[in-house]
Formats: sequence, structure tokens, C-alpha cells
Amino acid sequence: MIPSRNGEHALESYINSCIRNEREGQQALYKHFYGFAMGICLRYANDRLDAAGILNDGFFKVFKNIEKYEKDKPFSAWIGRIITNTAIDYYRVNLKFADHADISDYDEIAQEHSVYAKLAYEDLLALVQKLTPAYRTVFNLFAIDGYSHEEISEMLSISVGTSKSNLFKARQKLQDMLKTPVSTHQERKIVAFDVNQVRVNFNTNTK
Amino acid sequence: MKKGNDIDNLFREGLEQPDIPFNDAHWQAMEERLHPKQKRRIAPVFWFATLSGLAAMLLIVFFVMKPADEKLNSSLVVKKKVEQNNEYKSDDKVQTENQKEINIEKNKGLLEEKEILANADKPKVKNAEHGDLAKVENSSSSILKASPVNNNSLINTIASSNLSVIENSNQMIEFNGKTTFTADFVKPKNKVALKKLGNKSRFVLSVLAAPDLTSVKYSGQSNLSGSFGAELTFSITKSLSVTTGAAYAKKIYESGFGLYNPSSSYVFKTEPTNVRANCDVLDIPLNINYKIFDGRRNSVSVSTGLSSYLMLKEKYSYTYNSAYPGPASYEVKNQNQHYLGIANIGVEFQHKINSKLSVSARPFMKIPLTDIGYGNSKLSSTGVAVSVNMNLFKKSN
Repeated sequence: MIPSRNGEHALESYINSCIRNEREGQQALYKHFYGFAMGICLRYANDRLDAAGILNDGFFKVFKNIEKYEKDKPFSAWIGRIITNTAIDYYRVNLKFADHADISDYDEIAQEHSVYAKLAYEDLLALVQKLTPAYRTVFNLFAIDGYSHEEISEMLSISVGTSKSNLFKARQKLQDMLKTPVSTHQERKIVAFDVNQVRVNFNTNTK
Repeated sequence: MKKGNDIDNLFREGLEQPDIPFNDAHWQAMEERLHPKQKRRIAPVFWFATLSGLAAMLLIVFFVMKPADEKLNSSLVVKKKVEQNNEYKSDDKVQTENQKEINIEKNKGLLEEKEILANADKPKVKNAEHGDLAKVENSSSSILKASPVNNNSLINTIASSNLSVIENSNQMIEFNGKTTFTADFVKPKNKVALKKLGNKSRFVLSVLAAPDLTSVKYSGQSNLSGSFGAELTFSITKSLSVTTGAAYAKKIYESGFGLYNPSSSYVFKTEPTNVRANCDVLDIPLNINYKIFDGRRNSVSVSTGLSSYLMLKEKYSYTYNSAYPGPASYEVKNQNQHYLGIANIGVEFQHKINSKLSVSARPFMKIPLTDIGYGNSKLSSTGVAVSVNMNLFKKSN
């Protein structure tokens, strides 16, 4: 997810333009990273409306602090970190890391493995968005964004144990949700992944 | 990563590289946040226009009122003219008596005319005025006469000094005639106008600004809008009057997509969740006012009537709650006119400042009788119009 690979020079000019607070540069940068940033926001948000709000809050921080960006580091990582932090901040009030697992909501059992093949971005996103903010945030940070439990505990001001526990519960919930039939979406993109691998090794207990 | 975190992999792979289409509405929101000055820059222009409109209106009003003020200055004008006449006389001192007699005759004629006019109007006031003026003129003319006399040769001096007595007396009459002539020339004009209108002013010009809350019926959302304009009120009887005018209004409103029913065949692929409209409207009201309380300084009247909306510009912005948003906005210009399609009701509280000026505040409601605009919305406004009212053609004393 580094959209700037082929346009390294263009990106630099965008950034310089943003430092000068020029609208053109800001728009170009916004457009350039829109998909990337929105992808993050959608994962952390309850819904699309919240995601759009987070996106612009995050981009606002990016534009206001663009001169603090160190040019030797990848820009996408920097912007990603800002967006992620904004997303976390957005739900900080809701991030109650109490043990409020309510698996009964999702305990329908359906063994339609073939449905996994049809799992698309939209479906996966819908599942992630169904998680409570606390579970979702930890799952996002660990599983997708690749932070360690130590980092997460620091970012969210929680203990490493809580982070692990939330990750475990998030996975459990996601797995339960995967077992239930997915409502067919009108416009869905098939995501390529190894169906067999998923089916065979469905083990949520990683540690 | 440890083994067994397949669910992580599933989600990571599935969610890591989404193909999300760019939504321009989001950038527009961002742009507004980054460069709020742009919006604020438009606002002053709007208010500049309002203020300059107001200033222009005031100028026009004062020009209209000027004839009434001129009357006050008429005696001053007369005096100036007398002085001019004096100068004229002293330069052409050697004027023959014949000419003067002709002048006198002319002036007598004018005098008669004046008297007729004076009798027709206000004889008492006029006579008093003319008497005073005549005295002033006499003294001034004799003083002016004195100096040129000394400068001339003996013969001339004798001749002119002989004449001067007669001249003085003649001029007295002559100037009387002139003054009354000029004074009357100005006065009857006003008199005629005043007679037509009676002593009360029947036309009132109002310049108004009206902030309001505009909303679409059943939407439960309202937005701050506003208008400014001018109105002319004509009194039919003491308590009944008719008002018309024009106001330039900015209508901003928001509603759910369900309340947005354009009569076009366009079908949204993705239905917007929300529609925000920004319209420039020319509002032409026709109202009847009835005065229910008329105090010495304050009065209260109720008004009702119909407004016509000429939609100058309509811009609709759509908000989507989907990854596949449709068009961000749509704009139409001068497409919709709603003649007498809006009902007005209001209560006006007026406070007199002086005989010419008053200020008033009018809480009002505009209720739609038809569907308004491209979006066919039931658009209603509630607000307060604040206005400055000027009595036109009012007698100044």
C-alpha cells in the first residue's frame, strides 16, 4: 500500500506545495492518499459516515503538521500513523476495555465454507465494523496494521494482557460471524485468498 | 506472525488494499476546513452589497425628499437673487426711467399674479413674509446704490442722485415683485403635491434585512438563511395599507433524500442520504397590513399576503453514505418561478424616530403553497425582518 512508488518526485512536490499551504498541492495529496487513508478509516470506524469524519480529521492534522514530516521516512507510513491515531482518538470515549463479550448475538451456526470464497472487501469490512470499538481497534492494530501488543498497550493505555484478550475475543467474534451466511451484496469484489488455508486452519488461538 | 492467525491473514489481505473511489464531496469538506477564508471572503461581499444597496436607497430617498427641504431655503434663495439684482442695477446705473417703468409694470403684473396665488394659498403667512423681505431688500439696495454714485462724474452724479430717490422707490416695488415671483415659483409646486396627498404621507419606503430559519417541511432540519431588500407601502386608509417590493434572499436548507423530488427522469445509482440546497431567490411580496394598535410613537400591525419566488440559482449538494457515491452536486439557474406560491404572515412592531423615519421589527412566516425549486420541496421560512422606514413626500413642518 504505497501509492507513491512510481511518483516519488510528484509526491515530494505535493508535500512542498502543502507546506506552502497551497490548495492545489493539498488537493493532489488528498486525492493521492484518499483510498489508502479511507481504507484505514473504514476499518476503524463504525460506519462510512464516521469514517469520512475520521478521514478529514486525520487529513486536517496531516496538512497542519506537514512541515513536521521527516523526508527520509516513507510518507505513507507517516500519514497512516496519523490517520490510525485519529481513528483511535475518535473512539477513545467508546474504548471501554471491560469484558463485555456478548457472543450470543452471533451464535448462529452455519457451515457453508463455500461462502468464504465470496467474501469481499465489503463483507470483511462489514464484519470488522460490527465489532465493538475496543475489539475492533486492537484487532486492526495487531492483525492488519502489524503493531505488537506492547505498542498497542502503549497507544491505547491498556495492559498487554488486555490487548491480547481483546484480540482473542475479536478473532473469536469474527470467526463466529464468518460462520453465519453473509448477506449478498450488490456490488462486491472478490478478494483473492487461499480458501483452503482458511478452512483448514481456523485456529484463533495464536499465542 | 505465529501460525494459526489465518483469520488475521484473511482480514489483512482482504482489507489492506481496498479500491476506494475518490469522493469529491469529502475533499470539498476538507477544503472548506483548510481554507475557511474563502467562505468568509464571500460573506463580506454579500454584506457590502447589502450596505451599498442601503446607502443607495437612502440617497434616493433624500433626493426625493429634497423639494420639501428646498422650501425652507427659499427665503435664502430669494435674498441671493435680490443681491444679484442689486448688482445688476448698480452696474447699469444709467438705465432710463422708461425701462424702469416697463419693469415696474411687469412687476405689477407679477404682483397681481402673486396676490392671486397668495390668496388661494395661505395669505397670512405669505404677506408677513413678503413684508419682511421687502424691508430687507430696501435697506440693502440703498446701501449698494450709495457707492457707485460717488465714483461717477458730476453730471452723472447729479442725474443719478436725482433719479436715485425714484429708483429706490421703484426698486422697492420691483424687488418685491421679483421676490414674490421666485418664492411663488417654488411654493406652488409643493402645494400641489401636498394637496394631492393631504397632510399625511401615504407612501412609506422600507429597507429591510431579514435573517430567517429555512427548512423543508417534515425534515426537522433548519438552516440559517437571510434576505435583504426594499418595500413600498401605500396607505389606503388610516389602518389599512398595501406593501410590495423585492428582496434578494439566500435560502439554505437541508433535507433527507426522501423529501427531494425533482421532476426530472434522472435516477441516482446510489441514493444520497442527504440533500443540501443553496438557492438565490428573488422574493416579491404583495401583502396587506392592518394596524391593530397605533400609539403616539409605537404601532403594531398584522400583515398577510402572497409572495412570488423567482429562483435565480439553485445548487443542490448530495451526501452519500456509500463507497460508490454519485454526483456531488447539481445546479440550475433561472428555471423555476413560483408566482404567488408562498403565503406570508407577520406581525410588525414599528417605532417612530421622527416624522420621517421609523424602525420596525417584523417576525414573519413564509408558508409554501406550492412545491418550490427544482427539488420540489415544501420550503418554509421563519424569521424576523428588521427595517428602516421612510415616509415619502411628507410635509416637513
